[in-house]
Amino acid sequence: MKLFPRAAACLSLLLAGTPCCAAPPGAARASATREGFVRDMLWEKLVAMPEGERPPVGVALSGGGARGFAHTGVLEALNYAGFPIDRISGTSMGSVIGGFYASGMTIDRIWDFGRRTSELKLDRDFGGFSLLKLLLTEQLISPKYITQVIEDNLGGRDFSGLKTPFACVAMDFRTGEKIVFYEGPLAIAVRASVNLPGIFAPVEYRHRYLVDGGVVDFIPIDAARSIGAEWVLASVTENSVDEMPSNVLLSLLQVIDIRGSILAEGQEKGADFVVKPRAGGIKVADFERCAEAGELGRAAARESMDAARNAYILRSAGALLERI
Amino acid sequence: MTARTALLLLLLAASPSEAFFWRKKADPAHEKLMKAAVARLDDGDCAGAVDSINSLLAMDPSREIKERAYYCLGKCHEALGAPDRAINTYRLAAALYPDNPLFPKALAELYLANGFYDKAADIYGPLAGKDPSSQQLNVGLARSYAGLGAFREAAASYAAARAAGAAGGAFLAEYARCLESMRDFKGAAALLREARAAAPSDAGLAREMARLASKSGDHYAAAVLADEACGPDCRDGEILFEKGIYLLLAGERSGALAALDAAAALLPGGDQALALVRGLALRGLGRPAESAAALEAASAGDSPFLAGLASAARGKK
Repeated sequence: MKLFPRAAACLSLLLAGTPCCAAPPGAARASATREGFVRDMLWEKLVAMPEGERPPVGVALSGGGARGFAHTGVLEALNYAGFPIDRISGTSMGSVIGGFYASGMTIDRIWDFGRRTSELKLDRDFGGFSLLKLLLTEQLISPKYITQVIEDNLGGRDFSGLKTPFACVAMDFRTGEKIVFYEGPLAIAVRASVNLPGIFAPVEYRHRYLVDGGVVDFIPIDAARSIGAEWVLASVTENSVDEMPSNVLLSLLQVIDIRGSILAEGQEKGADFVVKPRAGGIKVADFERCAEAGELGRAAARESMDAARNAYILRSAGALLERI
Repeated sequence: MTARTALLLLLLAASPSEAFFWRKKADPAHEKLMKAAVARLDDGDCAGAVDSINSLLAMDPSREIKERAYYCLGKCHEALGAPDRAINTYRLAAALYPDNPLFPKALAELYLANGFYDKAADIYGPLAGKDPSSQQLNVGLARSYAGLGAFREAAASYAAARAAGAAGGAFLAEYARCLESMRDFKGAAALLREARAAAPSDAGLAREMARLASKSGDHYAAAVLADEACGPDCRDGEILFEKGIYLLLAGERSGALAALDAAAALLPGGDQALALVRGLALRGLGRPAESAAALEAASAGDSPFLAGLASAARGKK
């Protein structure tokens, strides 16, 4: 029988129904290049060094509302790569994810929030009755559901007892000052950081009226450095939504979001490495798309992981090469 | 009966029984055309087979013939290297024949092979849920998750495939790579040991075990495994290079240099990574002039990463 190889493969597929796929994707395998092999081996040597002997790594998580759930995927990819996360900081949704992570919550559990947003009713803080109340009574919204999630998971905890040192950013609504929290009760600080101005009522704390930090510090790189990070990886979820908002509330959200993205352009230069999940099409209040954002975050982090590891190895080369 | 006839009989009558649900007898003329298309496929004339099937479909044959025709058409497009057309064919057929599991399976395999891991997982997930004892579906799902970087989920699917009977060195090594990707080095090593027991002549497994041992911090064991992977009088420059790094990380600089020099004799000249690692070994051995020369060569290479490391090393006594 004379068969071309392709046809033979084709027929065998038809007959046996066996998988046609090539080598399994994604998983670890022998490095394709000698450079990759050197990186892999030095990397393990480096991350086995205690924090004091290598530059402490900080991860700064930007704002972005529902889009900010992309940080979960970024953190997961960093964990899989063995990236040491010695410090973490967050603004707005970044402070929620960062606070969860810093408290020792597993990545699996953080993912779970993204998959259960409907059950947790997070979208209700932005619509329906809340919106009606905002428009009719001109009273700002008290976000019941996001507060509940924060209280249930971070309530009663203090910054000092966290597994990973953490800082989050809010803004004083009266003065416009950036307020960085790194001590005291955790939940109220996170709640203040994720408190959209003009929509949610300011959080009154320490004689200040606090709103979302994303307006003044979209990527809290300095906050990470202020708690000891010497090498900062920023996870940035910028806005790229290109549509007219359909109501007053969404208009305000979009203005805040655009402001954050403009801030991000300048701020990201202060990071040692930037991961940018392509989640820009997910709007601030698209909470049903949180899991999708997380997956985009994981994909973006994986794509840039070799470059991130290279950058951190080079930053640590002095300390690392002393041990070889 | 010739092999070809046997293949055709299998294709046209027996093998699709799990999938094709014949409801009425097909038109003999259409059957003949279908056979002709398969014969062209059999002869390696996939383009001709596509033409035949398209002509057949234009004649509006019976549902059963169409069902087979779409499947063959999809496979022809695959064989012709037109995955987009194959995907469109399978998607259409899956919508037309929702009870036929071959179409979603073929679609999932194609998505997986072409890097659409999310789409593959979306199909494999429900299929594996319905048939948890299927090795093929669980492995497909595991590969889809691994492609997405969802290694925890991938590991669960590999475990399910294993529970369903998947075995053998290649499968175990693949499963091990997944565990390695989620930094479960101990679990990965255990699987690789099993894989090696199943395929003792596979030198690649010893090499993978070496890398894993070094990642786990046991650089000496890694060097021993590298020797096992290459055998006595090793003539594989790559493995010798890797062994050189293991020995360097283990603090055995003389041994590292010997392995690296042996690698240098086998690999193309001017390799930047090799120059860097040799430079580090020479530096550790207190041979500054030779080290400086090697590191200088590494600093001038194309890779900014390796050049940066070489420059950093040159800055150190």
